[in-house]
Amino acid sequence: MVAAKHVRSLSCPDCGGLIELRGMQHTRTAVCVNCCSILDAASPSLKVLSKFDDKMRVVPLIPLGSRGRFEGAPFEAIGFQQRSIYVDGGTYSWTEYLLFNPYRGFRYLTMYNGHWNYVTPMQRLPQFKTVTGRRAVWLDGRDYRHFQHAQAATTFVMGEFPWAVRVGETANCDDYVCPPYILSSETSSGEVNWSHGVYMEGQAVYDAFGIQRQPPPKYGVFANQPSPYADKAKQSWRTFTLLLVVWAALFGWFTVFRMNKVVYEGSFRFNASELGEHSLVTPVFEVPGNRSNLEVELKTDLDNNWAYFNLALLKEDGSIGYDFGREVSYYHGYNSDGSWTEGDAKDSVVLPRVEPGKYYLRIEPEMDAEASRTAAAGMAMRYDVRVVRDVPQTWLMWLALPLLLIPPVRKSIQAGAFEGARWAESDYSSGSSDSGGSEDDD
Amino acid sequence: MKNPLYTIYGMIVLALMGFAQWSGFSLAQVSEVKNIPKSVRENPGVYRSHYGWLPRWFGGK
Repeated sequence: MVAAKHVRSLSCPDCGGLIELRGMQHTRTAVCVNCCSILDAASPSLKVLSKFDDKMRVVPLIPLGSRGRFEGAPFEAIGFQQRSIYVDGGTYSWTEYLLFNPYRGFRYLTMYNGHWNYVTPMQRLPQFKTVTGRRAVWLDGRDYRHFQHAQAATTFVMGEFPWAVRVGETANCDDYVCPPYILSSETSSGEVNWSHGVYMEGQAVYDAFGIQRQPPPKYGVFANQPSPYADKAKQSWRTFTLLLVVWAALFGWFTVFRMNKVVYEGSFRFNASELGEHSLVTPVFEVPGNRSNLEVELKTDLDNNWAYFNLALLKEDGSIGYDFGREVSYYHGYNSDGSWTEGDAKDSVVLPRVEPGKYYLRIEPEMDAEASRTAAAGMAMRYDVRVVRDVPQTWLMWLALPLLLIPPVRKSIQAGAFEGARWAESDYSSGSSDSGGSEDDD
Repeated sequence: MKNPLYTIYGMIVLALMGFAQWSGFSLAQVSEVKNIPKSVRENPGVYRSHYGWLPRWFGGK
């Protein structure tokens, strides 16, 4: 822990208030918390350099002098400043806390709209590069994409600082992001300072300082805020891939391992103009296997005509039957648009869950005299009937695919919306006046 | 298993679709009828189709 003997107490020459200096020999500027006077800590008499307007006073959420643990070491909050940028007609302010540990040096905690970053000054430079046509930097195997360029002005300070603080001090800032990390460069007076930040939840910051209150709520999406959806979307797609393997296996099984056996075939002729009973029954045929589907196919020679088939698949012992009807129609011709066709001379129906056994078909065709007036064959037709047991049907499996796709697509949309909200705040949003980023600050 | 809910959901979808597929599910409108007269084989006209009353489409342009 930081020893108490390291705290030097002085009186403010302007208001007489107590000033405690904790930054030891590093402190170059101190700001009186009572009167907001900026004092030269290096001078024995604490010369007043300038003064902040008290109306600008901002109360820090983390009281100066508080100690918190970061990276396994205690850090003391010794300085606090508010900085502001002017972008697209609006002023955006964030706060920074200067943390000090005599063995580790300085760190910063920044907070904007409830989003916190733990920032470490860098002693080395990243490499500049281009990623997907945009400015970026590379550091420790990560690409950091340029997010925003702005001129930041110091609008309020409190506590002590290892540099000469001035009211209205400005710096050109560039942020590069690779969530949850952020690299920032600040250029002022020809000097460029790089820092590396990592996103922190407000509760983790408060816990580090032992603050019992609730941290301020988060608003919006911050530049380097980790997306809660990105990993979930990736995981969902991985799970989808596994499910797709199962789906493909089932699809193959239902396609290949079907009996698909023709159990009856017959050809008939029908003339509606003939008197007498038009219904007929087929010979009995065996429907093998387990309870499964059964396809009845009808193939006619209808030409510009239609027919209706009353059909019944009846079990020989009379215990059960499946009653259904099919309409077959086929028309064609020419008109001002060219040739046209409508319908089909053949049709089929798949009966579900037909139990095995001995069956016969009762077929009762119908044709209409008025409808047959234009048909060459009149009210007569030839038709073939084919019955197939356990036919491969895949529409249910195809139906499963979009159902399986719902969760990963939903997660991907959420992830995309999150990234959209993130980059909407950048220089690269469609509404940004600085869209495309500035190149003049390199 | 990082997506237990999705995995469970996916397996349920595949199980339901797989079972429906296996059991020969179809959207075809079919009526199951019981106790069919045995005389149908000798006299098909005694059987009255349940679909005989349906409205017909006469087709063509």
